[in-house]
Amino acid sequence: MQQRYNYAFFDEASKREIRRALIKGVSIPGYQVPFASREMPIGRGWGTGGLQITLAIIGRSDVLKVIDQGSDDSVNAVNIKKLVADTTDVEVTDATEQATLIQSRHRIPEQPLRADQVLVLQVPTPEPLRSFEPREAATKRLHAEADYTGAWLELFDQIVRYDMTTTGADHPVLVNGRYVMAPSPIPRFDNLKLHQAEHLTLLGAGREKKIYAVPPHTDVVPLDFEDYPFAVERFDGKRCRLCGAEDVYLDELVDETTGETYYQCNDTAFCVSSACQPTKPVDAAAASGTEFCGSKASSRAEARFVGLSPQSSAPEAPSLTLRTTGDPFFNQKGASHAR
Amino acid sequence: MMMITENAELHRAQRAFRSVLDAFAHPGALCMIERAADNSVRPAALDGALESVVRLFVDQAVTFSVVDAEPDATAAYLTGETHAMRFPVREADFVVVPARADAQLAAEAVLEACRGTLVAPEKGATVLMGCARLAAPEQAAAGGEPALHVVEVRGPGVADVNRFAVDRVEWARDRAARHDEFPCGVEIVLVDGEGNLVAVPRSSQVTLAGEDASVGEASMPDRVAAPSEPCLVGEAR
Repeated sequence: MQQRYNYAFFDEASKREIRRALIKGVSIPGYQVPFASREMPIGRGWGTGGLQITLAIIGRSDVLKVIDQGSDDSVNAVNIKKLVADTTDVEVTDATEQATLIQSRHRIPEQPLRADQVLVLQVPTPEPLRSFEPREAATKRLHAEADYTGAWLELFDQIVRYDMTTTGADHPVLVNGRYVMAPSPIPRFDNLKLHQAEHLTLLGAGREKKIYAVPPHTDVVPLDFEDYPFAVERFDGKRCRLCGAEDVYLDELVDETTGETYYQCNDTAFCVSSACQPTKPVDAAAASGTEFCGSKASSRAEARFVGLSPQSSAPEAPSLTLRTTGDPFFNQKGASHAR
Repeated sequence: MMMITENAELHRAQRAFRSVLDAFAHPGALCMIERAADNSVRPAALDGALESVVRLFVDQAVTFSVVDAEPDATAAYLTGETHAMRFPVREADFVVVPARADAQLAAEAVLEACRGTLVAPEKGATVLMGCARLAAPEQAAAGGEPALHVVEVRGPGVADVNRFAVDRVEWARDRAARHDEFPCGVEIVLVDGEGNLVAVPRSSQVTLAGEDASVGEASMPDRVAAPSEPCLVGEAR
């Protein structure tokens, strides 16, 4: 039996619910608007929040791009793209500049986005205070009172232990001088791309039933201390093995036969686009004599999955998960009321 | 998989929503929405453009109010069309102000609309206000009827300042008179009969050009700053 679907999968009432939340989210930058998250044909935690936003706003004139950790060809991205394309017939693209709607997990494209593009980010944990305070009612009150002691304490605790903040991704940001927001697990490298951006960013957490947004031209400031200023991942002296790009977010990979460590653009579309032109000869590519920017896109995409995730590939981020409230000597009850 | 695509209303709503989303992302910028199809039973107070905006958001899950000299026919029509419950202005999620409502009624709508709470600011109402004419700011000097006032908008979504011209401005003064503490407040959507549309979210600061005092300075609480006492860090190390 053939199943009949409404355009963009959702019934119109579901779209209205998500659209109402989006409007409030844009009007209160950084505030997590609760919404009636729908059941989706993919599992919760696999991008249902981003997918719901995409389906609620997409239309016939849109060109869709979906990326997962910088890649257009990874399983999550491909399947979300397939579902949206099957239920809307919209055009899909890998080229960032051609897309009107970009759904992403864990990255903001290297190519700066324009005012006519909308970025949709998938969010696993929208609450930046969650590791500090497990109760939703309590974190809502902390946001109401702009009491961000917990967010500061978490960073402070990292500094005490490691002499630096060790957030590999999802470094908390202060939006419009009011709300502390989880920017989704984008690397710190991408945090600054939200500040005074040209484009609208919509963030969706399906499992946690929250939608929030960062309008264009809005202040987005990563939390830091005067003596421990915010720093992004650095790739000094490293460049992409394939295209030679510097000043981009690189994946650290290991050649299993030689044991050699090498680097590649994390953003695959950027790596194959004309935006990324090597300025100096690329040693590895020159040596093999086969791979240049703009060619061999498919083989490159395959090679990419042997790599590490953006978080773990951050060179200065130790692979530690810090949970302030989990410490036995840390008085949780007192901490949640700390000033 | 069979997809239902030939539904003109669905696609019109999607285009209208993207325009409204764009308007909210760029407060004070003039956008355009398609008017709802002509409908012989639509009450006189409601034009196609305002109805189009109402139907984007209002359904059985939310409540609405109509502020007009004779609101009953419009409210009954909207209840029938959207299955939304009609509530008093103070409690309604969406407050509909037809273009024909006079300044006093518009003032009542903007002043009384629900502001939400600090814990749930999203409960703040959205005022959907019809107006006779919305235009680019240059049109104000060109004259024409009705006369236009230039409104300036600053804040998130605005690079420097966005300007637009509109025939009614009482909403801006009343919005300022509410003295909402951000994040509480109301969203205001202005729409004229042609489908020109401007959104003024609560995060915006509104000024009337030619008037000295800002009429819509959003009262932002003190900015949340880093703890100013770094000695704690020193002690702990």
